[in-house]
Amino acid sequence: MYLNYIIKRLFSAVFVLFSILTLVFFLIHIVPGDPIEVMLGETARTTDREALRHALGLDLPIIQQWLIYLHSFFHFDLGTSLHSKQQVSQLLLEHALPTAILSLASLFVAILISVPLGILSAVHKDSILDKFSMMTAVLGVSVPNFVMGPLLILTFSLWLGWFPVSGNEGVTSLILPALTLGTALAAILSRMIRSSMLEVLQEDYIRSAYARGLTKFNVLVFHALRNAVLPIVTILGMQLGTLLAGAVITETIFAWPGIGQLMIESIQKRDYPVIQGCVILISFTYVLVNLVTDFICLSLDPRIKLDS
Amino acid sequence: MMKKINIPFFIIKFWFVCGILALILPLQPDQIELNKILLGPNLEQWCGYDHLGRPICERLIMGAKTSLSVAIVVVLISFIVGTFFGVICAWLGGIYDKFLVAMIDIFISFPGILLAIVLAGLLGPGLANTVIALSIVSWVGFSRLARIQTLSIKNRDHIIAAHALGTLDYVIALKHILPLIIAPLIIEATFTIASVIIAEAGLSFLGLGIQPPAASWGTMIRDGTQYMLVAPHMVLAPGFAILSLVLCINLMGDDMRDRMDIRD
Repeated sequence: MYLNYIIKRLFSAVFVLFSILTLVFFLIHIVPGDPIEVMLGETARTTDREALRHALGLDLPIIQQWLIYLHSFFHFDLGTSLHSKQQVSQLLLEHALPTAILSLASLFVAILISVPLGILSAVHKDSILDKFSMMTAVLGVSVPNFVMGPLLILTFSLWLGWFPVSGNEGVTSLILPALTLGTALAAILSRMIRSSMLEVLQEDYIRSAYARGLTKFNVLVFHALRNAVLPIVTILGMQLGTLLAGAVITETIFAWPGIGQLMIESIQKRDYPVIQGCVILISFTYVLVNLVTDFICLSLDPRIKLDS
Repeated sequence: MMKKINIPFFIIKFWFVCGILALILPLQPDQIELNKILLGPNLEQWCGYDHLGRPICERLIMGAKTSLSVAIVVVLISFIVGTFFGVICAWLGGIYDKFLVAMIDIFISFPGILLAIVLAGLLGPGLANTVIALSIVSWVGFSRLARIQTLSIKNRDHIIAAHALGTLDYVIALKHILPLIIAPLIIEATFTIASVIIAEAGLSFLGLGIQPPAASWGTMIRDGTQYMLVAPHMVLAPGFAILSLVLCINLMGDDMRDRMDIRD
């Protein structure tokens, strides 16, 4: 039964990944704008243009181009950058690590803030602390990262001088971007943890745990949180997309040399193969992470009903 | 008992009035005063001047017009398109419904803003392209919600009765289904307005949205980040404008959801 579910889930993931590949390909080829013109400039001779178009295979029918593209994709060839002539896969590899570091750091910040905040608000429901932290959560959702980032730079870099403004120089330059991305995620998470905890705290086994004389900390962390964490894992997987997309803007603000910055630069240069590669990498990561979170939930909680 | 003043609603109204005033008042947001470049806030100009010597206060008002008009147009388009497909496909069922589910699956497997960034980047900057890019991203939420809601009420007695009486499909959709599912859709629309405002400003911040000389809060923040040390008001003013508007819309949405007693 589990095997059936896992196979079904894998098939749908493969379908979605294939659709993404196709969608990205056609989006980039249908939208107006000629890469040849970008490469050669407007003054190039017609014969040169045609020669380059032929060399790149852009004069073939679009369906044939699509098949070639799929063929090379399955041979791990994402093409070469129109600009720097580097392999796209090479470029992606270089920029993936900083983005991964930034995302993990933001996730860490988000969990560090939201878990205590969510638990405390659930335990002290309707107290001033609860109202205050939930108000902060709405505030956190409403501050876009391109406002949060400059505000943090202004406060901590320019006025207090604690952290560098931008760049990638060790841990200190990671803190502000991670805070920018992490606080937004923390706002969403703490609301989820609160409502999830509220539900769990009413269960009989919590009362029993108290009756057995366990300490409050013990009950909350090992009995309540263990059960409340499940919906949160799913939400975390879904929020990773928001996190990665937010990274695009945050990396631009802090000049963090990740996938996001690479993508924006290639959009400005109309470097189609690189844009294609960035979108595919981000959305593939998103789909795969969601797949993995589903499986994690399944192993964390055997009670999940598969048919629903 | 004294009536409590609804602060979020008041602030939303304030920005709406600003947006409308931007159409009427003879504002000069592009007027350059060279001797006032980067001048900070003062009594005469509450928000100061930007790096070209343009009055920030007037640009904020023009920005409100841009933000709100983009948000309203995008939400209207995606509300109508999304609800239409959601209701129709759920009502017809079978292959239509399967097709819609596949489309929704593909679209939500992209982080929305990422798709909008790529679309806006490829289509080129500008007001119309921003609206197109954001609409393509936003319709899915409405479709998904409308589909689920329609499926849940599709077999109610009054709809079966209407069907049995030979009522035309579109009349059933408009008069018998839509009124029952409209409340959650309106709440979805409220939150979508907030996210579209953020997305538009985000695109403009990246230089892919509204182009100068037209004013957008995102572009203002983008310009401001270059002068943060000497003129922090250039970032703070538009930053707080976005923050106040989006925060209040989200609060209003939460409030509406509580009142209509709708769960996610």
